[in-house]
Amino acid sequence: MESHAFDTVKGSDYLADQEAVMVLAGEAPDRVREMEHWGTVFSRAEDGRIAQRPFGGAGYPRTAYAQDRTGHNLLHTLYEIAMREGIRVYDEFFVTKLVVSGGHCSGLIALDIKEGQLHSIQASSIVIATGGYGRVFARSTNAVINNGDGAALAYRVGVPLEDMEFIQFHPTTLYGTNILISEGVRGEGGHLKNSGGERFMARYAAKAMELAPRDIVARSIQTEINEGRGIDGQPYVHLDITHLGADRVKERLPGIREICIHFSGLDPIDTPIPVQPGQHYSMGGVACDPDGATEVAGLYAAGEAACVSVHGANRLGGNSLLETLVFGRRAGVAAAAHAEAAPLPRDAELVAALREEVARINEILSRDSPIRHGVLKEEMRELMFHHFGVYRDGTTMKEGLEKLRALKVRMTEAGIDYHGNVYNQALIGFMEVEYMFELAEIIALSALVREESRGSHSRLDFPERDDDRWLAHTMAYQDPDGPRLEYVPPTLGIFEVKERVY
Amino acid sequence: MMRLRIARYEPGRDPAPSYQVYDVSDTPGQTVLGALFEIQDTQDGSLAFRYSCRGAVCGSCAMLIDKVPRLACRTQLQEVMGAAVPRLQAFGPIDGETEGWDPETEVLVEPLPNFPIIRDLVVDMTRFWDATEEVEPWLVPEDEPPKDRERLMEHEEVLQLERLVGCMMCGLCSGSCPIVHEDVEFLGPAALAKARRFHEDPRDVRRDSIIEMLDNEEGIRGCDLVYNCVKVCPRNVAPGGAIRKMKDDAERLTNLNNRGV
Repeated sequence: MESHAFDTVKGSDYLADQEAVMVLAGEAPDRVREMEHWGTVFSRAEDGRIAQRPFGGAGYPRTAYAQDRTGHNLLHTLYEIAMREGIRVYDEFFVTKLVVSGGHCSGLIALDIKEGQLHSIQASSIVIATGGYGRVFARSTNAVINNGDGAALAYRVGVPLEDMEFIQFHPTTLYGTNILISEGVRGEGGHLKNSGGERFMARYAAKAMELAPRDIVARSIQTEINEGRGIDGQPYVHLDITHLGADRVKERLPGIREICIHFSGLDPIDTPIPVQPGQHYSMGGVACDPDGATEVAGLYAAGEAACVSVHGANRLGGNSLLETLVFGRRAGVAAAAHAEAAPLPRDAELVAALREEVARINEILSRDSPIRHGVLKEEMRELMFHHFGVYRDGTTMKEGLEKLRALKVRMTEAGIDYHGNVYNQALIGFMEVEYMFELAEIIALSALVREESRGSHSRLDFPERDDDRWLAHTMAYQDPDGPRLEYVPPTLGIFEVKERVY
Repeated sequence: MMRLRIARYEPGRDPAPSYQVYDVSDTPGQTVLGALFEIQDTQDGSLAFRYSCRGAVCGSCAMLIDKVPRLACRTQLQEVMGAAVPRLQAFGPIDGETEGWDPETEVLVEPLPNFPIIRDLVVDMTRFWDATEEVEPWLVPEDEPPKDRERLMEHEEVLQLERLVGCMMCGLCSGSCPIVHEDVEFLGPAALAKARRFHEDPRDVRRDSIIEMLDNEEGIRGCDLVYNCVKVCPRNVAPGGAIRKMKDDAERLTNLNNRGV
């Protein structure tokens, strides 16, 4: 447990809260067993116990897994258990507002997507579990729904968003759709090559080559692309496994082969895979404690939506699913206890909030403008990737922030071109893009202000980590004229802060 | 440029379903889902379709593409044009002509068959989820789990289960099934395959009582082993194969019982 905690803290570039990391590592085995007891099919070792495999940045092969789809298996087990328990799910309800009065959570307003009606739901406890905000960036491996809705909702009721500038870029995502091509491909012996057919990693990490840490490989590929050595001058390089032979590819990398065939129309057995770095994980999120509790009584957050913080400036592989299990449970237990103890919220506040939301949404529905929010969204995502991407520097970021703010103004003039009630994705898309602009500004500002390099935040103009000034979490609060940034030190005291060398 | 012919319909508002034609960019690797996003973002925000992961993991974007039930995210525009398609046993929605559609120049996109349409390409999957719940698809273990330890499983047992565990509940199988089309009570391929997943799980105590529960017309007897479901499944779950095995098991149980009498 201590070695898992240490690897996690070191991987975080010492920004993780060490107490929270001890909780993560300490409860990990119980949570994995609990999932097994509930029915998850894990891969097994010879003795019939759950198998464990090595992951990047880990000092020991400790990650329990289920073939190459651990998340899928966990998710379906949870769905099965939820069915068994008869838990009511409001499918396709889109939350438009959290209702808070006097610092206490009293419920929410949600749009029933299928009917187009707004509903108020009374609740003294709410857990935000909406995933990350990766889609704010172009070239994201995330699902299209990872717009950061939950983080934006919490921000709007005064909860700070923490460490939003820390974005993990994965070195190898499929050119075109940016679907993840896992580290396993390099683990099996895949070579990275530029337009000249050169194994360029030799110039960046002569010893580790393709198996250098994630951030280093991502930065190396980006440099090759920036300096014009992408394939055919395009923004990608080749990940080549043609030398492995058909048998080995079919046996060890069947999932990756499937992805290449269906999403790139190529078979990696005889054609190199086109890859580029892409956004992969949001380290930041809703600021909360190890019980998921936020500054608003009754409002909790868990998973990628939350920032506990156990990942600090860089997450290790294997820790994201684990975080959902450990802190998802803790947030659920705490939220249930709070709901039992807290008085039922008063109806009047919800009624008033519902009335306001109906008016707000009717106003959006009435907007008629040739400016399309879908077009602005794509412009913003490209801007974020190019100005706040793998490499950052003050000048580029300042320019990016200005452009972003100009785009955000254009967004206030955008309209929607469908006004019906049933499954109105024009309306939902509009609200999502509003959320994304809000978060993009926080990410941009937090990144610009942090004058150091730490974990995933890599600045060309400040290449060193600066613990004297920046060993601190960024806390972004909503102010009338934009985000207000405050800084709080991480909880330390278990592991000594050191240089991060592998 | 590539042309899509897309079914548009909102029951209760539109007098009848209609088709609308859109031109989209034809970048290499462009998927049907990518094309739908392009339409929604840049041309027509009124178009409705379900989506989430765009990587053939979540199963949200099941629809009928050139008369074959497929995931829109995993289907490339260029691959649809002139590609060999799985030969399915035809029934209502995947049979017959679509007026105005030119298969040589247009990709036809319609909602997944066998479910009520909510709007455009979005269908009401309530029956699918209810059927899933009816087979009680959760682990029922023999006794309390061991304390501080997982239950043991053989590597081979896990391999055996993996095919069925891989189901992402996209519903393509139900959308391709002529029995589901005729009989709304039939549980359908996905729910039955899910039941089989627990029947085969060595940790589950129910064993053959799962077969007994499903040995009726709504369950495994309803299936005519058409195997459309096997052909359209994006995860090689082969629900029809699972149902055939359960039919064999049911027969074996009946023989046993008869001998007992």
